[in-house]
Amino acid sequence: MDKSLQVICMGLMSHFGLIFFIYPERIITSTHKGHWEPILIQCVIFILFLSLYLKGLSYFPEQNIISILKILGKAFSFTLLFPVLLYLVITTIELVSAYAEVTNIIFLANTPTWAIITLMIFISTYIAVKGIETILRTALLLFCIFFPLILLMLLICFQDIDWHNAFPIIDTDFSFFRQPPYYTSFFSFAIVFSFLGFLPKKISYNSKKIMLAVLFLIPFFFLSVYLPLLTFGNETASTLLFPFITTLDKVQLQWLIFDRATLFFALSLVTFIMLLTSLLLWQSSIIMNQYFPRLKQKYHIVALSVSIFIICLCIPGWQETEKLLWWNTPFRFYILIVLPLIIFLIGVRRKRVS
Amino acid sequence: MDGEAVLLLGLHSIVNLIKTKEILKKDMDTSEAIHSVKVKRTLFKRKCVEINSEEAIESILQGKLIVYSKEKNIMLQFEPLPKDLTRSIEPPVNENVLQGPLDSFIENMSTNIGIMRKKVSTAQLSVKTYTVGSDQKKNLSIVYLNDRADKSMIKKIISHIEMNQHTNILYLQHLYRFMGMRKWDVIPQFNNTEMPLEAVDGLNKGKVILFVDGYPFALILPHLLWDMFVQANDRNYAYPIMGAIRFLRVLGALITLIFPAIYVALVAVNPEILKIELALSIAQSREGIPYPPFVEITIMLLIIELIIEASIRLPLSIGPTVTMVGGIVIGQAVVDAKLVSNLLIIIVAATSIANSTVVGFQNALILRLLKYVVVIFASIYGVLGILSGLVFISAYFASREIFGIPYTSLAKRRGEIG
Repeated sequence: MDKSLQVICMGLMSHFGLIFFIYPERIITSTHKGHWEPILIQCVIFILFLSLYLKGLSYFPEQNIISILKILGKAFSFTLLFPVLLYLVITTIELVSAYAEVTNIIFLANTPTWAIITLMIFISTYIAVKGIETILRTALLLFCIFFPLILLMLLICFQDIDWHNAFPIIDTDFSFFRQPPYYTSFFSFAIVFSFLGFLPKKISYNSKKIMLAVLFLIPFFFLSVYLPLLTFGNETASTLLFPFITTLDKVQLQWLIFDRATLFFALSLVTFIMLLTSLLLWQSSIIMNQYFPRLKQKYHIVALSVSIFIICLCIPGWQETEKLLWWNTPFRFYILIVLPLIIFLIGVRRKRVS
Repeated sequence: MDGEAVLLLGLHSIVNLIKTKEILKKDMDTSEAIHSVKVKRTLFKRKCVEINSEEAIESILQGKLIVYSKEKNIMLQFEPLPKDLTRSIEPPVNENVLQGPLDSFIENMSTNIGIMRKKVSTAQLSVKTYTVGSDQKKNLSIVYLNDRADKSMIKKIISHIEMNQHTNILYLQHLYRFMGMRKWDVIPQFNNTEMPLEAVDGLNKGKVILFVDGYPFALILPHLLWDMFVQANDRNYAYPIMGAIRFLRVLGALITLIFPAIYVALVAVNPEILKIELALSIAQSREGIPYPPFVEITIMLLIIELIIEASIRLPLSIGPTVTMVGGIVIGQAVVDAKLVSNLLIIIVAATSIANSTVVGFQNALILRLLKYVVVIFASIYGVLGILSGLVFISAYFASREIFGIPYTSLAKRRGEIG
């Protein structure tokens, strides 16, 4: 059965969750002119390796990434999957603690962080335990409920922009390559579509549709950076911790009964992140199942989420989360670049042999 | 009979004895003196079967008449005229339909199947009847269209029925368990409807209809989320109007879930997101109310639930009294006594109105229960709680599968379900 729509909803929503909070700040601080260059480079890398990954997977229509890697031998597949597992778990920790922190800073000043962490982990564990089909279906439902709201909010943001702020357009020295924030900003690209490799065979998808959805997604990366930039100008925007959220906050509309409609926007993004977390938990539990096949997948998920919860509690604040983001960079490139390459090469080799 | 005395055995309460006797007499007059049992079977121009005494008890309980001849010591089963114990076909009572067909199902299963046969005249219509129960037997029929229904689902249903053939079905709850539903699931496998129109629509979409004898509803299987928002009769209107009506129902469902929660969230946790004028007027209306919004809204919602429950229970002549008293209490006195705020009355009213927009009382009940989940989440986490409540409910809906068909799927046949 073709489940492209559900898969696309999942991918889009997760990306939306990742784009609008941390990403703009990273890009704006990593360069001060020609912001489109770093974004474009990222998008090209993203599309290139995603298509490689899809191509690689298409050589094995009935298999998931784990059985594909098993072709190389058990020891190899264990070593190749370990960084993936590590990245998945660390990303889950980052996501939960970062978004709990953000929510705490911006909206729920009186609620303790641990309470928000508890909520996020509880809901994502619940969804993950129910399995991948539930995750995808939930994605579709939430997409229908929240997506119109998010598009509306994005449209509203256009009211204060000044196109002159886009200048200077050209940056010739590519200084952003020397900035650590630039590498952490790959955070918004790396993780989401890796789940395509984990799907069981009964969930099929159409690669072309997915690539189309990704093309639809690309403008939003630009919007998330350029809307704050065009509204505030580079100098002001670079001082903001969450440029996009601030841009939304600045918007005033007469006909809206809410003064701070940002809240709905940002918090629906947090719910998208909950869904992404559940997906990551599910993915990690599949890898864990390889290492400890005797335990049921359910228990893997619960064990993982309990340990992630404990680790999240130990992270005291925003600074530490940022450090974690930086440390995680090598794994990020592993997932983004190395893993698709490996899958692609195995696929090509197999095609030649047969 | 042929000059020989026979005994008629049967239950007076379910057999129309006088008319049956008349028929018997009329038939006997024309009959000649015949002695062989074989001919006697067609004696009354009706089907007669020779049976033993154990079968006799069973058939008497089922409303048959036994003709017992003492001399020959044989028993013949005879189909008598039944007493009229069922009501006639009437307009639906629990569901309303505007500008659509007005017949509804009744307690008698064979009448219901007859209605279906009349509305769907195709050779593809299959009816399978089973008798289930350990000591209290009951008939159960499944009706489906051969060319449309999903074969594997029918197989599963039949295997469930055959597996549990010796379980009594007294209430629908037994049937849910019978069909393999877990005890604490909120969403049943069946969508029940009183209207043949809906049942026919279900058949055409490849669903399976289940009739239980004595229960005046068609149970449509599987029950999907989308059933909450569509009624077959919608298709009798123009397309844009149909869309608008359905959109309204979706909105109603969302309002039911969100409105009470948003009151709690905005007043207790996130007041800053409201426009300052609105925030002030809310604060003013809550002036002097001695408890937190969560308690306030729980009290009011509880009162509404009580009124709904009471108005179902009360005789029709006393019902309006409760409505009036409830109206006065809720509308004026509670606010004047500074027990709850003005705004809350509006919220509660909007919620209970919105709740009724969804199709089917059983679906409205699901939402009625689930809104409390969102209220509880909202009272702890504010707006984040509302949204996570919605995520939780969506995930719950998404996790539900009925005979392999996901609850959230839209389409008709299994192959098309996404």
